[in-house]
Amino acid sequence: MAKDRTQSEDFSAPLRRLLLGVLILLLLGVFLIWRIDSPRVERFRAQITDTVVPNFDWAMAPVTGAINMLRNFQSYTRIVEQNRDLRRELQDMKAWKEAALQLEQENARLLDLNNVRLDPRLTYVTGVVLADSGSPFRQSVLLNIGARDGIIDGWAAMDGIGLVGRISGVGQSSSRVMLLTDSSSRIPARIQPSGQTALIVGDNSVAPHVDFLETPDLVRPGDRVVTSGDGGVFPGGLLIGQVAVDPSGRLRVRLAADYERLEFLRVLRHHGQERLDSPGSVIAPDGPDAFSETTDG
Amino acid sequence: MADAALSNKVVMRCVFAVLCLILIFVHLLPLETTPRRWAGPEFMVVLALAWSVRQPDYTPPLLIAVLFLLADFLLLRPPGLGAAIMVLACEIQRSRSLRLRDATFATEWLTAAVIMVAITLGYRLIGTIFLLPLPSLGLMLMQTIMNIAIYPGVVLLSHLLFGVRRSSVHDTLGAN
Repeated sequence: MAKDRTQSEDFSAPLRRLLLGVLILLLLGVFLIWRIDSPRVERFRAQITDTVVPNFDWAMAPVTGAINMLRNFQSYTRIVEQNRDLRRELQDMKAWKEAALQLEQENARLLDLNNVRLDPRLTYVTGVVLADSGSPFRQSVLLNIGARDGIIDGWAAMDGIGLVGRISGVGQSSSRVMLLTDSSSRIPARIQPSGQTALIVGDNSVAPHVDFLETPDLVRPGDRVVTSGDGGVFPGGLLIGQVAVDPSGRLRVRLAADYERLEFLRVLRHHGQERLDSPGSVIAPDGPDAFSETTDG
Repeated sequence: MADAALSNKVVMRCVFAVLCLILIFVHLLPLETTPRRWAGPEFMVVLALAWSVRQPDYTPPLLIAVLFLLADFLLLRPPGLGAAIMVLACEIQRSRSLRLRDATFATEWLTAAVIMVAITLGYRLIGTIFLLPLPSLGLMLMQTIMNIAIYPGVVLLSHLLFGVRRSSVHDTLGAN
């Protein structure tokens, strides 16, 4: 019996090894195809995510909810302290609210006087965060809105206050938001009030750093960072955060969006900025017609 | 007897697959949306390595390939690379399983640790050759160390909960 077994192993071992080699070559082939033709495989990845993850949704929402509830429960232990802090903050806020109301009225009056029209095409779709990237090395979240809702790659995603990231990968009913903190995120930005342009480069840390700044001397901690809209991919003027300096002296951005709790995100519809293609031509009356009209009159 | 052993094998393969799917699911839960300073262990890797040295029948290469390819796609890793490395690593573990059958646990742990370090090094090496955007070395090392540290726990749990233990010489002789 034992001898029989070893004999059959003698036959099956090389075959097994061959099949194993084929399997590994297939997997490496997938990797090579991804490396060569990344966009197509990434689209395939979006499709897989689109078919798999929404099926988990019924379980994900309650589990996430329960864990968050547990975490909140932990914070009850220091509720008295928190309450005192909140009261103090509320007092501060009341003063600020008064100031904001006055400023808002003034702003509305001025806008009206100047007949300013805010960009009417900047509408948004709101989505719920389904899942995160699942790895400590990548920073992204998955939303439950996709091509079905008209989402297009490259659009900006915001929470109520600040920019969170941009759409990268769209499935039929889900889309992935690459967060500003991901190490492959690069967003053109402008720093107010000095008006300098820079790139906000994510590096897998809480505060992405400010790169390609012409004169860093003009930038101070606390300056506002907004998107510049350069390159025509992103709408301009979205708040990103404030400039801060890290211990090693590099400029970073403290993000305005609350990354601790990303639950609902707004995806801004953006159809590209209009581009000026012609270099400008001679301004003249419209040919002979215009000329004859003037002579008639 | 043979039928029972076969059906047990199929059941345990299903258990392995379900465990891996649950681990992917837990990874995907939107709990941590801020970047972390530390990296937790990758339970799927540890589980696959532990099971393939203890009960190679429960972790056939095809199952490993499919599960890790799915994980690669869902967890935003380079598709295929992690799966190929894991199939290879589990195969090495499998070939060791006969030799490690009567070894002490320390030997088994050491072997697993060497393989886990080799996985990280192999991944980084291939990543460098193909110019992949690699995560920071510190985080990957931390993950490897966590993987090694968690190995005994995973072995203990799979022993207690699922009865995955090393088949001793007597068992095999008795079965034949």
